[in-house]
Amino acid sequence: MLAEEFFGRQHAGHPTLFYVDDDVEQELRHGYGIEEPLAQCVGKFLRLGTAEPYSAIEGYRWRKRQQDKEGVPAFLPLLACSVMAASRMVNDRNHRATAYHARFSELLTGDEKQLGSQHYEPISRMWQVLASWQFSQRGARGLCTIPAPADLPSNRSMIGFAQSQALLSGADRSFMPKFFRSLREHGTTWPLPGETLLAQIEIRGMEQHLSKGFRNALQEEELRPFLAKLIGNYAASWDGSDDLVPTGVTRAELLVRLDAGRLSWVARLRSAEQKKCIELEDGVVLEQLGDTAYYEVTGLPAPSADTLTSGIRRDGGNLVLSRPSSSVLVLARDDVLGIWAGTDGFHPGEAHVVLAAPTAQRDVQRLLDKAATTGRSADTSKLAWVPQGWSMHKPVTFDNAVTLRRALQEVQGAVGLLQPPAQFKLRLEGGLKLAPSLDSHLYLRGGEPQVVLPDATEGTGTLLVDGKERPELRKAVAAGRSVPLAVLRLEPGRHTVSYSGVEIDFATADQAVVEPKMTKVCGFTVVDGKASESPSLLVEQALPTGITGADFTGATTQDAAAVMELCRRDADEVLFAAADGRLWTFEAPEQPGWWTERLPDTPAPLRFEADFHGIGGWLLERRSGRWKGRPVNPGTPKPKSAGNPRAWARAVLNAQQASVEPSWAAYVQAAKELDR
Amino acid sequence: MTGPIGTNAFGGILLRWLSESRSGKASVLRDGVRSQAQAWGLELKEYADWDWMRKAAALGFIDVDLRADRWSVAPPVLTRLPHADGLALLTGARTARISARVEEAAQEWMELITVSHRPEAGEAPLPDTLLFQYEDLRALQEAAEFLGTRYVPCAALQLTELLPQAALGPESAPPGGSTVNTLEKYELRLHQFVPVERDDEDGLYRWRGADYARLTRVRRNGVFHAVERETGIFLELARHRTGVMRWRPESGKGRAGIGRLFVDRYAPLPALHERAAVLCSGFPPSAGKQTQTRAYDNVPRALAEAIAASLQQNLEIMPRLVAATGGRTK
Repeated sequence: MLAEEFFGRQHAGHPTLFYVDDDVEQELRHGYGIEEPLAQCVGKFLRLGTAEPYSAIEGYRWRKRQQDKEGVPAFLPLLACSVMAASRMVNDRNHRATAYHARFSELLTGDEKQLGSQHYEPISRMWQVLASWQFSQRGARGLCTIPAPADLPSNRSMIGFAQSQALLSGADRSFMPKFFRSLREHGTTWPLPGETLLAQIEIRGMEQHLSKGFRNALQEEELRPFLAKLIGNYAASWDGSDDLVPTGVTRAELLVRLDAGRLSWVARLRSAEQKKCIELEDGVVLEQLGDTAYYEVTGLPAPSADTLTSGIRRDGGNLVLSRPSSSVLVLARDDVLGIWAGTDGFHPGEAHVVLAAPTAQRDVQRLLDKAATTGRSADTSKLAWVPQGWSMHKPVTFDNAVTLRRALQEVQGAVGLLQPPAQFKLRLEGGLKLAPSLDSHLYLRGGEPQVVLPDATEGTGTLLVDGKERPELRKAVAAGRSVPLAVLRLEPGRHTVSYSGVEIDFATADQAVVEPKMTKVCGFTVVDGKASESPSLLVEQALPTGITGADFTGATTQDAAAVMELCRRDADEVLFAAADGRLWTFEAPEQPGWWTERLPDTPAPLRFEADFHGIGGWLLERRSGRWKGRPVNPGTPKPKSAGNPRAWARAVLNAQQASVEPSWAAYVQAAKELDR
Repeated sequence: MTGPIGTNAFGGILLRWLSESRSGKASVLRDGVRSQAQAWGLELKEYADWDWMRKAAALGFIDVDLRADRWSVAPPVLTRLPHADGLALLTGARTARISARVEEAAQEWMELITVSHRPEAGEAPLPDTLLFQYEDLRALQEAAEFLGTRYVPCAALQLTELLPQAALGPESAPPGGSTVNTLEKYELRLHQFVPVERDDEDGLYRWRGADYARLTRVRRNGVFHAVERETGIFLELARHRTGVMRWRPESGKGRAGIGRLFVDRYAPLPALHERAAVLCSGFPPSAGKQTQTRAYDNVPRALAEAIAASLQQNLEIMPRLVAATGGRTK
C-alpha cells in the first residue's frame, strides 16, 4: 500500500516525497480500511532488548527480495514510522537530535528509552537502500529526494534521511503550482533555482500558506538547503498545470530526441500494461515504438525555442503526458533507440549535447568553464535543428564528478538541477563478462570491471583491492570517477574490492570455464554461387555452405587448375620446364611494395611467388651449382608440341640431378630423346 | 606474442573475450568496446564502437547480423595473402587455447609476424594482425593442422567469385505512418543524408520504421525497394555516373598486377566486398592524406575490378608512381 501510494508509477519523472505524518497515516488507514495503527503494527516485529531490534524486518526484506528483485524494498512501514517521528519532532519545534530518537522510540514502543541512537544505524542504511532502488528505476518510480550521505550535516548523518522527507506536507505540495504560476506571470525565466524560490516565498510573505514544518525548516540553516533543493526539483518538473502529481493517473514523460537531423518529441511510458496506441486531448496520439517503453508522438508542434520554454501537458483518461518548461536541454545517447534523447542530469564520463536558451547561456558557459572536460566552446556551425537563438555545445563530457557536483552547486541558476544521479552503493560496472548467465561476477583477465564508489561520506574512504590500497587508482578515486581495475593487471583468480566497510567479490579467468554452446551463428548465405548482401543468422542447413569470417570451405570449390609455388630469391637461376616443351626463366620481382609501410621491422622476403594457370611441368632452382626440382602438375612430357624444344632439352639435361622422382626421370628421358 | 596483456593488448583482449564467449548481442559487444576504452583511458570518437565492430568483421574475426542484434565469432582460419611472397594470415577466433598454440609454435618453428594496429585519433585499437611466413604450401597446411585452424587457400581471391552484385532489393512499402517525420534523402553532393519533407523524387531514402529500426530504401520510378545502406549509396553513385574507386599498381618490378585500391570515404564498401579487400593484406584500410579515401593494400587488379564491377563502378586505373619494366617470361 505504501509502495503504491508513494512509489507508484504515477510519480514517473517527478520528485517523490515519502511524507507520512499522523494525519496522512490515518487517512491512508481509512482509505484502505485498516484498523490497526501503523506504528503498533510495526512494533510487533521489533526484537526489543536485543542489539539488533530490526533484524526480523531486515530478514523479511531479504526474503521478499528473493521473490522480486525489482520490487520496492519491503521495509517501507518502518521507514514511514521514522518519518512520522520526524514530523512530530518538527511540529514541536524541538530539533535536538536526541529528541528524535525519544519520539521514534515512543512511537514504536510506547517508551522513550527503548530504542536509542545506537540502534538506529540499520534504519539509515535502509534509507540508502531505498534511494539506491529508486535510482535504479531511472525515474520510473519517481525522482529520489532522499539526500546523499555526503549532503547531510554530521549531527544528522543518520536521522537526516527521515527528516528530509518530513519537510513538505501534502498541503504544502499542492500549494506549489499556485506559487509557481504567480512567479511565471511575471515572466521570469524558468525553472528558477530552489534558493531563489525560497527567497520569493519570503519576499511575498507566502509562509502563511505553508505548514509549520515548512516554516521551521525555512528558518533553520541546516534544513534550508534541503528545502531549496526539493522546491527546485518540483519547479523543474512542473509542467504548468494545477496539480504536481495527479492521483491514480499514469504519467508519460515527454522527451526531446535528436534524430534524422531534427529535434522531435518522444514519449516514455514506464507502466506495466502498455497499449499500442493512446489518444490524448487535442488530437495528440502516442504510438508505441516496437516493444520499447517509448512512444512516437503526433499532434504536437515540434520542439522549438517557444515550445521548449513553455510547459506541455495533455490529458487523456488514465494518462497525462507532460513536460516541464526548461531553458536548458541536455541530450545523451539513448541505448534503446540508438539516438540522442533528453536526460535529467549529467552523467560523468558520458557525452552530452547541451542546448541553452539565451537566458540560460551565461550559466551554462560558467558551468562548462568550471567543470567540462570537452565541449567548453559553443558549436557555431549553425545547424538547422538548433532552436533559434539557442546555443549548442557538443560533445560535453565531465571526467571529474566531484568538480561537476561542486560547479553545479556554485553556478546554480538554470543548471543547478542537472545533478548527476547520486550513488548510494559500492558496485561494479562494465567489464568483459565471460559467462554472464552463469556467473555475473566472472570477468576475462584484462577486462576487469570499473568500481563505482558511493558518493563520498565525510572523511573520504579508501578503496582497497584484495585488502591493499593501490596508488594507481588514487587519481580516479579522488575525481569521483568510476575506478578501472583493468590497469592493475590482476592475476586470474578471486578478488575483492572494499570501501567504507562494504566488500564486493569478483573473479577473473583467462578463458571461459565452461565452453559456451554456440547456437546462433551469423554469416553470409550463398545461393547459386553468390553470397547474400549482408550477414544474417544462419540456420543449420545454411551453415555448411555459408561464409563465416574467412571460412567458406563449403561455398567454393578450389580452383584445381591454379597453382602457386614459392621460389627462392637467393637462387642463381629459376626455370620452369613445361610439359609441352615451353621454357621460362623466372626473375624475382621486387618485394611487395606495402611491406615497407606495414611491416617495417620485417626482413625482406626470402621467396617470391610463381603462379601457374592451366599449365604443368617442373620448377627448377639452381643454388651454388646444384639443381633442385619440384613437380607442378607435371603430367607426361611432350616437349615437341610447343616452344623451343632444343633449349628445353638443354635446360632439363643440365638439371637432371634435380630430383629422383619417376616423373622427373620421364622429363630427362624426353630431353635425351630430343637431344639425340 | 605473450598472453593478452601488453601495451597493444586492447584489441587482443576484446578478441579473446569474443572468442571465449563465441556469440552474443551486438549491443553488448559495443558496450564492451566502450567500457574497455574507459578502463584504458582512451577517448573514443562517436561511433568508434560501431567502427570497431565493422572492422573486426571485415578482418574476418566475427560476423554481425545487425537486424537481429547478434554477433558470432568466426572459425579460426589460416589463409594465404595473394601475391605476398609467402605470407599467410591467421584470423577468426583467437581463444586462449589457440593463442597458446600460436605462442608455442612461434617459439619453436613458426615465422610469426605480429603487427599492432595503429589506430587513428579517437579510434579503438583492433587486435594485432598475425602473419605467418611460410616456405611452401605443405608447411602452411601442416601449420593450420597444428594450430587447430581451418586452412583456406586464399580467402581474398576465393571471395571474388562470391561477391554479390549491387541490385535493387524486393519492392517495399513507401514511408508513412507516425514516423514519417524521420524521413531523410541521400544528397550525393553533400555525401550525406539530409532531412526532407517528402519522397517525391527518385533517390536513396531512409527513415524509421514502426519499431524505430532504420529503414533504407531506394526509390526508382516511384517504386521503393529495400536495400542495404552501402549498396544503396553505390546504386545512387551509378545512377549519377559518379566514380569513387581507383586502383594504382605497385611500382616494383614484376608487381604490376598488384596494387592499392582507393575508395572514397563517403562510399563504404558493402560488408563482403570490404572483407575481400581487407583480406588481401590482413590490415584494415588506411586513411588517405586528407582522410577522404580509404586505401586497401596488396589488392590484385582482377580483384579490384571484380569489386568495382559488382558495385556498378568503373575502376579508374592510376599510373604507376615509378615507371618500371618487368615481366618474368622469356
